Amino acid sequence: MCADFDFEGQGTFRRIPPPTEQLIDRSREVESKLPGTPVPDDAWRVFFSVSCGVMDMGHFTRMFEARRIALSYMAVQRARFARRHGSATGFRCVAD
Amino acid sequence: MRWISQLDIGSACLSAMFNGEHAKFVSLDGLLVTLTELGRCECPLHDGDILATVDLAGPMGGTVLTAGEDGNVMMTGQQNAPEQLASVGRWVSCLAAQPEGAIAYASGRNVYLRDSSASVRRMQMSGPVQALAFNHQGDQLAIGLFDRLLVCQLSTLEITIEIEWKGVPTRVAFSPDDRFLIVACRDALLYGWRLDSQRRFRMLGYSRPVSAWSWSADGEWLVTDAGAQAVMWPFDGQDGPMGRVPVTLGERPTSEVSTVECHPSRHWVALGYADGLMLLQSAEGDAPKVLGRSTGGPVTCLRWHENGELLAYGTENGQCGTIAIA
Repeated sequence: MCADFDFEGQGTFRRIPPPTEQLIDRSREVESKLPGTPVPDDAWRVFFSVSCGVMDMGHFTRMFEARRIALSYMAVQRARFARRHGSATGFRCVAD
Repeated sequence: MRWISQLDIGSACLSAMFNGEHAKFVSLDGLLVTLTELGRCECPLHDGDILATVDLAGPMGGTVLTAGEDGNVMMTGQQNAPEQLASVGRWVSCLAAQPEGAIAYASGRNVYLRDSSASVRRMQMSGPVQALAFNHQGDQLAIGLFDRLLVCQLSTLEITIEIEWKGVPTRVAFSPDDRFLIVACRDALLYGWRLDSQRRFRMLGYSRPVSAWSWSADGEWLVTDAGAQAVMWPFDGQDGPMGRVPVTLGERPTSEVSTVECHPSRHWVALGYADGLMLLQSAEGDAPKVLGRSTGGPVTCLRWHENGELLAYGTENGQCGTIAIA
């Protein structure tokens, strides 16, 4: 998509991390469970590619919503994992 | 979840407990309030504020010990009839009870031990006593002083363990298996000792001093408040929490955990927050369930019924109640 084009940067491309396989899989899984007609594979390829393409606006809205839900889900999972394992909380027990 | 009862006891609730199916609440200004089918029952316990409360478990369940500014130590049993156990004429600031009926209380530098036959022995410490706790076997008493922690053998009153460190203890507790001794102090950390080896450890990461803690039913976890979340420290291994990281629970960016209470049979923790919200959080990391929200300010105490289906709560502004866990 056009997400790589930085309008404020006078047309220079900015580096963004590519979507992870996990995000793509989770987004497609969420989308498949949304009510309505599933979007075709071609639309997914355009949606997650760095190049521009054409897609149906209804498909875009559906995929965008699925991606948003997937990102939220993964963020919660990561936070929960970190909390469960305490890696990011700063709590620790030190023996003297 | 459904509300069973709600009442206003007029001042901050220090302690909540169950006597059968009925909840009892102890207020800061010296009242014991019980709500029964017959209505609200108020029982004045102290002339002045209450400084320490202990509610007994097991066969003595429903009995509460209180100590206050009037220098009295009172025991109120299941019939809500207060009995004066001791009077020392000065503030009694620390209180501890042993399952077999002995109690310990402290006023200034003096620690008093009253056994089940009502004979009282006195010990004088080198400084003001800050915290008391019996071990679960009932043969030792931990005494927290400024910069020092003593463990006393009850039969001989001999000090068997003396530990020095820098800190002012606010509460002290033995682990349910009596292998560890944990001290909360006015600094933002917990100190612990493994008693067989006297190996010391510190539990770090807190943003403020710990004000509430609770042991899980199986004794494998110690849950404490910790700012915006609660922390579960593992005590299941040989060395307890040493070298391990805890699990955090119930984080809310908009409020702070004010009290915690472990479920009597499951790995569940009831969390009370400064904005009056109460959550039920599973240690397995499932999404928390909302128990209710009180309008009485910070939740100051939570207590499960021994059947694990009822929860009593009290708040800083005196709003109290009982919640049934569906």
